[in-house]
Amino acid sequence: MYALASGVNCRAIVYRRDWAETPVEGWGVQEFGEWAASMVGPNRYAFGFEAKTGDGRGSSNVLPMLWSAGGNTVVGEPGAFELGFDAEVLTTMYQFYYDMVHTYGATTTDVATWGWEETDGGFSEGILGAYSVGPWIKSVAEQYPEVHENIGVAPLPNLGTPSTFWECSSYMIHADSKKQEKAWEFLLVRGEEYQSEVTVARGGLSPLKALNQGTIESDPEYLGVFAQQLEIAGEPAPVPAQPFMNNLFYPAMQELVLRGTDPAEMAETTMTQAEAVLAEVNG
Amino acid sequence: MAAAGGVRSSVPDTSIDTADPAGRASDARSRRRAPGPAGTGGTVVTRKRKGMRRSSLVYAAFLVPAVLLVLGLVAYPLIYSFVISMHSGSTFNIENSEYVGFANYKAFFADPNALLYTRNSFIRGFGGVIPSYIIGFLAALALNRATRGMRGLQVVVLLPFVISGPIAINTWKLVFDPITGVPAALGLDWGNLFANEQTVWPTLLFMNAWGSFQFYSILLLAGLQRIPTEQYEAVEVDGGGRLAKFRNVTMPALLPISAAICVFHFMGSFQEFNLIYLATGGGPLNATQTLATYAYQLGFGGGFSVGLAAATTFIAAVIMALTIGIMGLVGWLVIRAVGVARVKARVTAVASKAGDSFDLLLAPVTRRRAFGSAKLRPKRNRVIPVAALAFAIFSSIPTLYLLSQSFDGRPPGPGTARIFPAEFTLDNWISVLTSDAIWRGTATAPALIRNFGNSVLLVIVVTTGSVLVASLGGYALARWRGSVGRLVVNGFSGLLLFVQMIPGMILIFPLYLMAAKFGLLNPAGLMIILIAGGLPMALLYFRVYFAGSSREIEEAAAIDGAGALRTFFTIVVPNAASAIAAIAAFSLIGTWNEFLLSLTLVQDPASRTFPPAIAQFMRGNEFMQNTPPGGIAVLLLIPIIISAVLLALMLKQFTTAMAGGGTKG
Repeated sequence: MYALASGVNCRAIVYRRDWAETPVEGWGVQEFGEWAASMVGPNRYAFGFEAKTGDGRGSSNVLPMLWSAGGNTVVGEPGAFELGFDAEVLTTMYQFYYDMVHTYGATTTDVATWGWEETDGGFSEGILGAYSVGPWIKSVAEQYPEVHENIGVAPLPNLGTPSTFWECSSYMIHADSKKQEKAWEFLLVRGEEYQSEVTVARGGLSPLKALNQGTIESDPEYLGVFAQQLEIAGEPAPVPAQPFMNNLFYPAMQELVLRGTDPAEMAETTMTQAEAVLAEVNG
Repeated sequence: MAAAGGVRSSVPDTSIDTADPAGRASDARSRRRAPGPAGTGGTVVTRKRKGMRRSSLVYAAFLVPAVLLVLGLVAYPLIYSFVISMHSGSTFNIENSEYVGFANYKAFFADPNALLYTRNSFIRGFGGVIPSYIIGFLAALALNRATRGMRGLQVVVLLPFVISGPIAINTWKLVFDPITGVPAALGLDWGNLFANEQTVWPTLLFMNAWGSFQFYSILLLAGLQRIPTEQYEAVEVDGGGRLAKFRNVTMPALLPISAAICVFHFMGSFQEFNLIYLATGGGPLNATQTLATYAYQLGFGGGFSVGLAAATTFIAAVIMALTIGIMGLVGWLVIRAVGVARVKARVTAVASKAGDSFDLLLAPVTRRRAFGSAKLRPKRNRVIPVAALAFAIFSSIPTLYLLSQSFDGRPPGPGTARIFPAEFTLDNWISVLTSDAIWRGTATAPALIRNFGNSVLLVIVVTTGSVLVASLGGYALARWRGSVGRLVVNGFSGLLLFVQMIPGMILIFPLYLMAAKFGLLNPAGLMIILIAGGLPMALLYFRVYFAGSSREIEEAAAIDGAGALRTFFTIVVPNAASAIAAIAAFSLIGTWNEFLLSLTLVQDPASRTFPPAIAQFMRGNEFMQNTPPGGIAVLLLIPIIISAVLLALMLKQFTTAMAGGGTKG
């Protein structure tokens, strides 16, 4: 039984079905890279990702890659966390981003400055063929019928172990609540009515999974694929990812992409800077 | 220091007995009431002293609002910022900070990127000044003549200078868009100019020059129009041609003012924030991260290390001051070493006629022919010079591109880039002008019309407040005499000159913390802070203006029994209409375009002013995904049209005020 809640952020690759063949299940870097490269065309990029410093969403794209390569941001107990990665893990992860740009030519070097605005916007406008995102791209792509009608969903590529990102910030309205209308008003203000109606159906909410099941079954090609990803979904580390993203991973990804720095060399550089970030996290 | 000297020298050194209208009034009244010539000297002196005391109280009262605002919201935050820089602590939890001495300063220098940020600040500083100066100089030469239609041309040339940062930057981003912009339409594959380390600085500096060369044009044009024609005639008599005239007359004449305004502009450019923050955010790979944007990122962009952020702003200010000092010293040494006696003589001669450079900057409007003045030359030519037309085209190219796009019905996406519309349509205008984004708001953004209304209200309040407080204070500074008066006037004027040179970035962190503490992270707080922020320049401007204006009417009014307040509002204010209009125009356009403080000090999106709201909106989902290029063009054109209308209505006043001390990065 799968469930998707309002505000859920379960990651998969969304892609243009009219631009690419049905992807291979459980694909690695090579399969993914070749598949993505087949979508490249004039003024058309195949695969996008966020690497702009400060981007709040890039972490949920990068972390599955880190987990898939066998690492994490930290391990251990609060106050005494240790680094959850080493140079080998980072090299594997960095190699993926390096290859997407320099080996497969799946995207422009400009991607190093992209934030979620460029990935969401590029995909919706038909400039970008694929990127990692939560389910709700379908609602924002509604303005562009050609894109909306051709959205396909596939698992994220893996770097050793299939993995994805799961984050739930759902709002539940109790079926017996006397303030149901107020609660719905709140959701409206949040602009999440669409998501809520898709997933929970107005009228009350009890066990989340049970209510969502029917919705997912009604849209197996889209929501169903996202829901299936929950089997391999990791959860964010018990510390904020942003210090790692802003100080280590994003700058490294920018170096890899813009300057073509060797991934192994970049990994070593990251390791020399990582202790300072860990100290910040440990307070 | 030169500024201080310049201001002081422009204030007539009048004695107490003759300078003070209220004092003279009481003196005159005492003479009328005196019973006879004998034995009345002591009474006259006593009454005179009483009158002086009374007038001193009036001037003090006039000055109180300005002093409170400048001390409270400019001088104190400067000290507070230094205190913050000596503490650890978060922007949002300053109460729990600890004294750490110079640890934040050491931490800055320990950062391996510190040198890069400093280098970038120099690129921004000099790169902001040099191209702008060259273009501005050439534009001033091109515009230094009167022809029919020149006023319209001047509005076109000046327009980029008054367009707010978010609008101008997003316009250029649309022009340079690698998929849908001009290069793509011309079949050029330039890539994203903002994402390439090699192209990002030239692109940014080009954009900056486009929007700031007018600063030099205004001031250099004022300088050009003060050169006596006899000097050119003398060169002609000596057989000199155009080059000789330029080398022997124009250049020496413009040298002092050029040096002064380049220093002013360097100060603004070195610490400029908007361009980089909005165009690149400091990227790619910190290639454009300057000390100013780095400090802002430290304080507000994650980490929230306000102590380190404040320390960075002080380090930046010290580096900037040292640079200016070194440049001044080198310039002085070069002039001495080369022994350019001829140039020196020319400079001295011209400066003596034109007043020194700072006198020119702060000179009363009535003495100057401003950019936009109808008195450029007595005789008008019929033909607009080609060079002036070229600058007008240069200034208007992005706006014309927007206009073209706004009438193009092409859909978003690749393969459709073109410069001119293939099919003329009003759909973009209708769509944007009837959209929820403007009138009702969207899921994540308030209605833009509301932000527009906020800007209008802010402009009215700040402009009115600035003019009122500055005119009262400037009048008091110009008129207050006596030992106490001199002490207050000289001390406060010195403080004003000093704080005018303080980069705004130093104040942003303390102002934020103070506003948060007093619950003023809202439009009310922003209004007060903006009024205070504009006061130093406006006060000095009014001080010089009133010091140079006649006092006879005020004295006559005083003799007739008018009080100081009545004299001020019924006599002084109407006679100072041109100065008031200049400061009002400058404040109005400056407040309308203000970005950094509005972005930082107003938290509620619905209460924000238009510039940060449109910047935020253009980064939002709705905008990125749902707006075709033509719609983006319309959204950008609306504020540009408003700026153009404001400029056309206040061209003369604005340029006069600009020549009086305003600047731009």
